[in-house]
Amino acid sequence: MKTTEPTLSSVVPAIQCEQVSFSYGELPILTDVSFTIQKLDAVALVGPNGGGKSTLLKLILGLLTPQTGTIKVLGLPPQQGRQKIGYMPQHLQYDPSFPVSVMDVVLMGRAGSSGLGRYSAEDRRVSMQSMEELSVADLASRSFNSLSGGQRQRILIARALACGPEILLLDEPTANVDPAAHLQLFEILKQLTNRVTVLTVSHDLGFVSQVVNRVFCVNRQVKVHPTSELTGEVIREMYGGDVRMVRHDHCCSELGHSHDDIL
Amino acid sequence: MTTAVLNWGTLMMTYFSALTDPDMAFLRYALFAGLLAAPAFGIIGTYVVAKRMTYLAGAIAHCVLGGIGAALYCQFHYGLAWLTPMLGAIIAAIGAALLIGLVSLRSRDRVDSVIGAIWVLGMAAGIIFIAKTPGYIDPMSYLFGNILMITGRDLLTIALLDVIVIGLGLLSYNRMLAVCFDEEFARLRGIRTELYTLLLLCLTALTIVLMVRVVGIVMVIALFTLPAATASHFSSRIWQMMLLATLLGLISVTGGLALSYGLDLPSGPAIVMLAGFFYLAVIVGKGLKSRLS
Repeated sequence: MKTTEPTLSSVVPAIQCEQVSFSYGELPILTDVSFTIQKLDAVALVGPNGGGKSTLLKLILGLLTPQTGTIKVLGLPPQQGRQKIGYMPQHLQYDPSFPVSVMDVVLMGRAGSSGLGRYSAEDRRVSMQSMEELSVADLASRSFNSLSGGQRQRILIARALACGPEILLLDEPTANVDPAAHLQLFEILKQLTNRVTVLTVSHDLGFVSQVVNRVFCVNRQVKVHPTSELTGEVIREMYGGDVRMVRHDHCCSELGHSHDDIL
Repeated sequence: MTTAVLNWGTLMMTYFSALTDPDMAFLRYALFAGLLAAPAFGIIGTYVVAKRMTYLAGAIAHCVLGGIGAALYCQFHYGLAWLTPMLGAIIAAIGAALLIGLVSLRSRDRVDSVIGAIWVLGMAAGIIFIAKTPGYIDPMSYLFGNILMITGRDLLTIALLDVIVIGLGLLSYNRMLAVCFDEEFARLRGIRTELYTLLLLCLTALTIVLMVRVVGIVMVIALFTLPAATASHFSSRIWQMMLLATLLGLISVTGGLALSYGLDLPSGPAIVMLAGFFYLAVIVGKGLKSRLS
């Protein structure tokens, strides 16, 4: 008999932060951060440099541990839950002349799944499939270091997808990407939000506001805005004034929105 | 030009005839040691260059002198005949690899200072041990290599270490590749990256021991970096880089020993000079090519 009650997995949020604080030594980076991201939600993290976006990602990935508060990824501590996170880093700390093929890079999304580190036929199939999803399958045998910025970005998203993730964590997916590739990435991300939870860091509000449902403004604290509330006023406050911006076609409420307590 | 070619030809001829001379066993041993070591240097050297660990490898190499000195000292003063300089070198190299690995993984700042200290202290300990061991032991032969010291037993040890290094180096290929390319991502995928870093350092340590007799502690690091760095200019995959670095290592060892025999040069420097020549030729050649085009 089928039950109509929601199963446990469907009520467990994708990511849950409760009163998380983190500081490097004396320097507080995040204070008292709480939020919940439900499954299949699409969220963008925005905010000034040094505001704590990268730190928040590292906390979610279990690379850093908060001094106070708890983080749960799919109901588990980050170090266990991160198995289900597909992560795309912003800066690859790799040698630009590192001789490696595109296929080998995407296969790294499958590394750690098998005992001795041999890749199975299944690993190759999944990797190929994620490359097809990002329309980069034809690049599989190319050298990674011969690709353009936009192509590399898509390969790294394919690598994140090859992990078979329930959550995608993307750090600046549009950095170093030319405008034409921008549009392509936008389409791809929009598609992905239909089947995985997406959390993306971006400087490009015009870009993300069309892809995500909610924007988290990270600047020592985290403020949550539905994308429908994004106005120039809000954005100026997020970045601390003095921001030049070009308005895209996202909707804004007429009254705007104010934070009383930020900074 | 013609005379140079002729000279090179006669040089190789006399070298190859010397190799079969029963009185020249040391020359054969040196060549065998070099040929055995080349694949290990090609494989591990590629990882070391790709992961930018040359400095760590240098520190391990210099600590080996501490182990050799301690072994000689213990052999003489405590009659531990089984504690050969080779065994001392292996123990010191592995010890230094683990120490340096833990320091670079755990220490928050000034990693390079700590590693520099280990580098110098290991070497100083070796010199002190050797000085306090009576008998004629020339530290120079350990520092810069001396093929006259290679014994048949050493060759057996070298072959055994070689099998271990090449086996583990190739078995861990995919994981090592992932760790070298993007360590953070590899860790997130559940790979124990610290373990692989330590494994790589230990394999580096054993590879160093392979060639300490032939080229010495100071120059052994050149055999890691030069062939791999030269190969990187012609490789689009890590395995190609390994293959090419191995080939360059084989040529450097054979050619260097021939030069050393024919021109009466110290063998370690001759091998390293040849490897360095290939590297510089490639760099200069590439530079000229990009200027002309």
